[in-house]
Amino acid sequence: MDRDHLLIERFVKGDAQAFDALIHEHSPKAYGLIFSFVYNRQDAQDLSQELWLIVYRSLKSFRFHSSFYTWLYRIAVNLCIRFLKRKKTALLPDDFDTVELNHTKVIESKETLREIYGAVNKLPDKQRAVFILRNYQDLPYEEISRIVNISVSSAKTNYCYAVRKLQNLVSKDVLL
Amino acid sequence: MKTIKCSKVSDKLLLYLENELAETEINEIHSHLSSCTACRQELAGLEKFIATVKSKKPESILPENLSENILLNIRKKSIAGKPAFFDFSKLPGLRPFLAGALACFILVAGFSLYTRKQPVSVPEKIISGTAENSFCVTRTQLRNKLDGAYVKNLQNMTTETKNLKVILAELAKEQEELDKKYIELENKLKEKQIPAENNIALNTHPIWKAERNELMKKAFETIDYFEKQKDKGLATEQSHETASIDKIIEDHTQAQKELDILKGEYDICHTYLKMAKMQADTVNSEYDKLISNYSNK
Repeated sequence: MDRDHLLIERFVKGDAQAFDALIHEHSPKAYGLIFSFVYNRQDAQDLSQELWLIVYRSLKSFRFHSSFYTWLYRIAVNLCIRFLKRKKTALLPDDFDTVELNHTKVIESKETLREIYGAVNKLPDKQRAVFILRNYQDLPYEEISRIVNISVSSAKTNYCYAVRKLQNLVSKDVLL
Repeated sequence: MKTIKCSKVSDKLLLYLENELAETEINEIHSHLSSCTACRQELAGLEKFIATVKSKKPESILPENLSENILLNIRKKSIAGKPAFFDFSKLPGLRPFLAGALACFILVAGFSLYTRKQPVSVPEKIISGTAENSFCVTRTQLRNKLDGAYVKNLQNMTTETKNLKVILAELAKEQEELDKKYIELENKLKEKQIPAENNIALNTHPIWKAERNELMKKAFETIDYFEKQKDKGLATEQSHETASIDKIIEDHTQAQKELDILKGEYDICHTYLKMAKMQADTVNSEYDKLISNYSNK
């Protein structure tokens, strides 16, 4: 039994500190995932709050059919998709919190970032999810397939399509 | 010597870059690349693109006290109301693709079969030589003009139907081959006494097979709908012998609208069936890789 499993069992039995430990362990990565969808610090923080509240309220019904991490990411991805839909996916380039993005990089790459993120936002939901999980979270296809609840081959196909679409959307002069 | 077509290679370049192909495919692509400048250029472009995108990962400085703030918020909310441990699946709009792979794929595929608009009813109106038809002196001339356009569109759609049927037949054949490989893989695992549940490919086989079957089913339904519309069109055409000019124009307008909708659906079918074919290639490659791995063990 892994550490997450033990912590969840302790939490279900009433140990509040076990939940604190889960948050400390997973919230930075979950925040990173959310940020890679919404590109905005404030939105990412709000969605992180929402994510963990959902987890807190539903952890008792978690049946360990997947790892906790997969389950957490699955909720996070769906929250992000729902959030972007509410925003009508109208993340205009000006909305991008570019000061936050790649803080180590200089301002001249701002336009490039805007162009790339703008293009990613034009992808259909599932392709975007697979692209972000693969490219920005470096997850293996097996893990992506579990998070998005599709087959491994679907994950690969969606990734190939996403990249092909992005190649058409992003102008050649932003390439390295 | 180019052993496989450039279009085949193009579809697989990304997975080739990621080393996600079977050894035989890697060798095929490798040998193709050694003699094809265009594909080499495409590979270089793809590599450059991926490198650029990866170097521009959206990274944010982690907010200070992120975990503490989350905990604080949860405590506030749980004090405000009693801790509500409810079934996650009851959360509206949050069911994470819980409708399952099938529904998910269909939703994304967005077959407009589900959203097909009801035929728009054209109100009966009195037409006395509209500008468009004013040059049609006689009823026969008008019918010939309208029929000519309709028949041409119908012929195009019939050709499209044939193409779709060919793709569907190819997919069904591939499916059979993949099922055979799946069984072979299952047997290899039994031989090696490896539990099948540890194998992701085996576990996901039923999922993608169901996805694909559902996709094919929808394509067949679209074809079936077209065939019915075609029959309906022919029956309507016979009734035009005695129908009023207004009725003839109205029927043609409506039939054209239906054909336009179907054309859109056919385009969607083509796109997603092509995707399914690509998926089949990927699965095939995965199985080859696994079979070869288990054979070597």
